[in-house]
Amino acid sequence: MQSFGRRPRFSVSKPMSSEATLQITSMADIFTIILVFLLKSFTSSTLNVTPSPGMELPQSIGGSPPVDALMVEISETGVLIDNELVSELKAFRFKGKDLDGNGLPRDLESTFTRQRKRQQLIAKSNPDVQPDSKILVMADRRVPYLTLKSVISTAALHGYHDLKLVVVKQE
Amino acid sequence: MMTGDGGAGPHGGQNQDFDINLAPIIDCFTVLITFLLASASFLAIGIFDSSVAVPGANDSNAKAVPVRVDVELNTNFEMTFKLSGAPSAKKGDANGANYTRKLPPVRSGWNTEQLMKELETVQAKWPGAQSMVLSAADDVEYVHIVKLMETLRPKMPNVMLGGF
Repeated sequence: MQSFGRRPRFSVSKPMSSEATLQITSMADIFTIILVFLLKSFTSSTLNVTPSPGMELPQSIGGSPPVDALMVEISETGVLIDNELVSELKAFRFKGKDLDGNGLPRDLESTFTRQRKRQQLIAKSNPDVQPDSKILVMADRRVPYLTLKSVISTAALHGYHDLKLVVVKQE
Repeated sequence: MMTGDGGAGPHGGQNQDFDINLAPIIDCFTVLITFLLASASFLAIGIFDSSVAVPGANDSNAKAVPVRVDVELNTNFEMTFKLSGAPSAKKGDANGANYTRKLPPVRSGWNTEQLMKELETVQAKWPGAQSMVLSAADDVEYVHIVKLMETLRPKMPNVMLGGF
């Protein structure tokens, strides 16, 4: 009889082992790759620039990497300097009672004065450190120029005239 | 951790065929990856360099180039282009005289094309003119300022904020 080399249709299969072992070597390889990638992206950004919840930063194609400087955040409800609420805003605008005769916010002035004095004290004790003119401005895209103008002119009065405007990079 | 009877101890055999127990390593990796993913920020942050148009700040260019370019953004998407400080400001000399031009809006947006042409005209006459002062009306939103700075960057790398 001609044989076609087929397996018999009703062959008795081997009994399956109840002890199944999971091959985790490939999983370990995948995890190693993910871990290396995450660690690399984690260490490459030493500066922590995280916008507040609800803040919409303007988007841009260009932009250089962030630098370490005094951080000023302008959101819908307030102005924060180094993550500390300095002056409250109402719908992105300063309240009338918070402004002085020149239209500059009082609380902001006192905070910039304090920050500048702190930098000068550090510079006094350490000659390698110089008072910095850089300031990181992280403002919501809807902030009117009036508010922005008040903040940056107050900063400029205290020597912070080198503006670094924070944007979200578009892909 | 090693399993099996491998080892070089006095009581162990000489069999060097052993398996590394990967389960605790996987556990560690899982914890680390979860922590890193939770703490990672997927927001790509960029920085736009600018400065404040006040005397004493970045005025090195102002000494080299006599002209000053001012652009003001108005609320109705109209721009005002102003050239000042031109040395050959003779009466009737259109190329050298200081001037102010209104740039009307285009398709309910800023007329950036016309603005670029104006800047090209200025830079053709004064190639060193690489800075300008950008100001805006009180109600103009910050996003418009950033967008315009982005558009002007190839032509005008140094944009200062003014209008104080």
